[in-house]
Amino acid sequence: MQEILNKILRKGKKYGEVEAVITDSETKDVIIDDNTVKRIVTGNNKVLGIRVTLGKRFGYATTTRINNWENCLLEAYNIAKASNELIIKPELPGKQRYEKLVLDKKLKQTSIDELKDLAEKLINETKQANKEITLPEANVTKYIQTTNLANSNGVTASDTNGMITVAAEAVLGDGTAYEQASVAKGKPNITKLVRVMTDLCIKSQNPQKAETRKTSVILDYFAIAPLIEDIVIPALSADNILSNKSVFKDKIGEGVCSPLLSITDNGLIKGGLCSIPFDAEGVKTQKTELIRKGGVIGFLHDSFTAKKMNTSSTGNCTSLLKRPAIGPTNIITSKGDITKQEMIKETREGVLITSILGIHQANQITGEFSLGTVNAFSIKNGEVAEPLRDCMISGNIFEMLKQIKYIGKEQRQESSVKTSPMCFTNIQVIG
Amino acid sequence: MDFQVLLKKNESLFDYADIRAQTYTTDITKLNNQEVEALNKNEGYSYGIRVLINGSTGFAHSTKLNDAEGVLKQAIKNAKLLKQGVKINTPGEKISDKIIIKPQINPFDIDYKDKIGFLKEVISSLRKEDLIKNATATLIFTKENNEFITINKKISQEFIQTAFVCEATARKLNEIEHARKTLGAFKGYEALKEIDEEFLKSLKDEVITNLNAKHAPVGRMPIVCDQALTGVFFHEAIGHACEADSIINKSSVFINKKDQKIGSELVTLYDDPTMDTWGRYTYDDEGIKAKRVPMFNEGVLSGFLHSLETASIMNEEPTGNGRAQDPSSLPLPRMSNTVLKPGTSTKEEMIKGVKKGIYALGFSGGVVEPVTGQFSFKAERAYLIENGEITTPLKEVTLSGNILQTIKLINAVGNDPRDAKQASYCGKSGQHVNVADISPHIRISEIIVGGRV
Repeated sequence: MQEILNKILRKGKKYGEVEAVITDSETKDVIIDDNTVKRIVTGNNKVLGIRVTLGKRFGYATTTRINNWENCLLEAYNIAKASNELIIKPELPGKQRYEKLVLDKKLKQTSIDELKDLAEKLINETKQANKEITLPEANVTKYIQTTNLANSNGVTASDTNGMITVAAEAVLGDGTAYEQASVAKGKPNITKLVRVMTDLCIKSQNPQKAETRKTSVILDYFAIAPLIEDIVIPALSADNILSNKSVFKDKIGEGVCSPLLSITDNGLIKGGLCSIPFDAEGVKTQKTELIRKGGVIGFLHDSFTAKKMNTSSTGNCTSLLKRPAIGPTNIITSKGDITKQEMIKETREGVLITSILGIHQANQITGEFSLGTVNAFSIKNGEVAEPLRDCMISGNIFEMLKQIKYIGKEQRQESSVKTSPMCFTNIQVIG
Repeated sequence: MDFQVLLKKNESLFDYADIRAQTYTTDITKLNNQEVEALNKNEGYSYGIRVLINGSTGFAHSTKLNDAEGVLKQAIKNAKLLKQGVKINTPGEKISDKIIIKPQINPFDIDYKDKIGFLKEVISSLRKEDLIKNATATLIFTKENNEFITINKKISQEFIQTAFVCEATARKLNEIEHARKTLGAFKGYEALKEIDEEFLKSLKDEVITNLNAKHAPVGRMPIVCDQALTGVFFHEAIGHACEADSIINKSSVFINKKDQKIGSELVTLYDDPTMDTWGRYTYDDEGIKAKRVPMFNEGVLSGFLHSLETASIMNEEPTGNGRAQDPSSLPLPRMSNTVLKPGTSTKEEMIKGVKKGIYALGFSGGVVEPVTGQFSFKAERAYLIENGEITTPLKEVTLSGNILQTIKLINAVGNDPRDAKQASYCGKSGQHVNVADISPHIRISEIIVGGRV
């Protein structure tokens, strides 16, 4: 692939500054439908993207016909010529040294037969846990992507990363439970997934109507992680600061959250689901502190926002498609020293929420949300009590983060966010 | 390689096979305030091959041009890995058809400078409102040619789509509000005629109204929904539960309820891909001709939406609802244009009948838990109704309830159906497809309103 990239750069010299990237991805997917492995899907997808920058203008073009790179280059050049000037001149990153993140051998070699075995194990162990529990929908998916990129300013980078994800939804009576296990190393622990999922399903039987009140709420991983990923992290991205779309604008150095909370982005964690040695522009990734003990100390940048805000890129460019284009790698929140069990005990009275529904309904700028929940339970006398039905919670995540009561010990990562359960007081629960 | 020749050559290796191939070009222009954020053109080709062998489905897809034989072999291998499957009835009739939806003005012939100029005007109009501190506007033009090939069928559907998205963020002291409005049509550049001052005014009004709005009261109360919100309610809460895979997977509240009267008799609902709106198509992604499919008739659950597989399992006829996002995805039963038959009430009559409740407009997302029937959806804008009159503007209004209970509680259906003409996409199992909702106003006697106190 580097050969084609070199050709593009050589030819591109006469047009302007050139960045080119080829991504080659491979998926293997075993689909469970109605308690049976129903389908096996494999595929590959290869795309070339070229960005041409002419002074303050830029254009981007992609194609799946890699051999058609000359047309793609010309297209990007013509678009750049037709575009308008940006306020500042974007700069291409220069040559740099990257950390070596090696894709786990075992994961790389996992065959479609082995993925099918994992899917069958999931079905069998679910049946063994409880004959009445069904698996209407589940997937075992392996995804591997190789990225090769280069630019006319000396950047050459190559990396292969991947993960295996098992996602399952179990049903018992009118109760459901979702569980997921994603790994960038080895194989997912099916036995643990089944235990957690079936346990949740059984405990969610005969749900009671939730009482409308303000109370303490513990948000478990699938409730707190989407709020962090979809609302808090965009507010810490420099593009939203520049566009007046962040509540953290002009707040550097100010306390915005509870001192219990620190948030960092780190693309270099070994075995992290979103670890990658370089970003879409070829800037090396790094550990970036965003919130330290409740105070905002940094934002996520690509090289365009970094130049606009007179700082350096944090290696968080996600795509050459637009300027800016910013996203997280692995987001890690600070760990508490209390277990979820202890948190429940200390909370005495309140609600435990396992997952929230429809995060896209939340106001991603203001942080206001009013969302349905799944597998919510009331907490009574320091213990998990009856399951709750039709239970909504509402509030403002930014206000909530100012009043964190506890952060749990047990961290997990199923998306870009590695976090623990968190407990908040005085939250509106609607039944 | 000619796909049909490939299938014929390997006919002895499978019971059934279909190939979906797509050639696409997209052209995206996005402005953030007056600055170009994205200007790009993407083109590509991909195909997916599905085979059925002894009832097992194997599927493989690729973007590699000259590897169709290898991809077919992989699909066969994938099918053979499975021991059990479902016998899928695959219609054998010969079809050769070519559908072309031609635009009046081909957007790919329009200069980028003109597209940027158009978006600049949009942004200028939005930024005239002082409180709007940021505005973005995006134009997305797509040209697709989708081919469906079996040994007996060769169908191609070619179209050009135009989507427009604009967003405004308003700030007043520490208050921030954000609103978004879209337009989607199977038209060319001429579709942009609809982006006039009135269109943009409704976005400005929404963001400014929300900036000054109060939080909604919480609890159970009556609600009047405008056409767009009614559409999303029927799509999310009712339509998904009528998709046959959810019946087979026992993840629908409508299991064992067919032909039963489970809703208000005011509810007659159907899916219709043949209407010229954002969810349209002529053949589904399994080569089945699209048609109107009833879901509810005067409160009686009358039908489900099928793919070939679900129709075979349930021993019913395919309905032409097998849709896939692209050739790398397998078809699933999906909605297209969801239509609620209009009633006789006027909006004014519905509001007059409410002592204390909510008038909710537009939608900004919705989800449904099909097994429990729990749903929740959020309005773009809302007002309090007090003694039959619309009063205070409210913000962050989320409505939730249970499908089986709520469908009985619809006590008025309006005489004012409308297609919101939005660029709406429905997500299911990681696949997004175009959908539209054509609905009148409705009134529900009780729903859980979530807001803040």
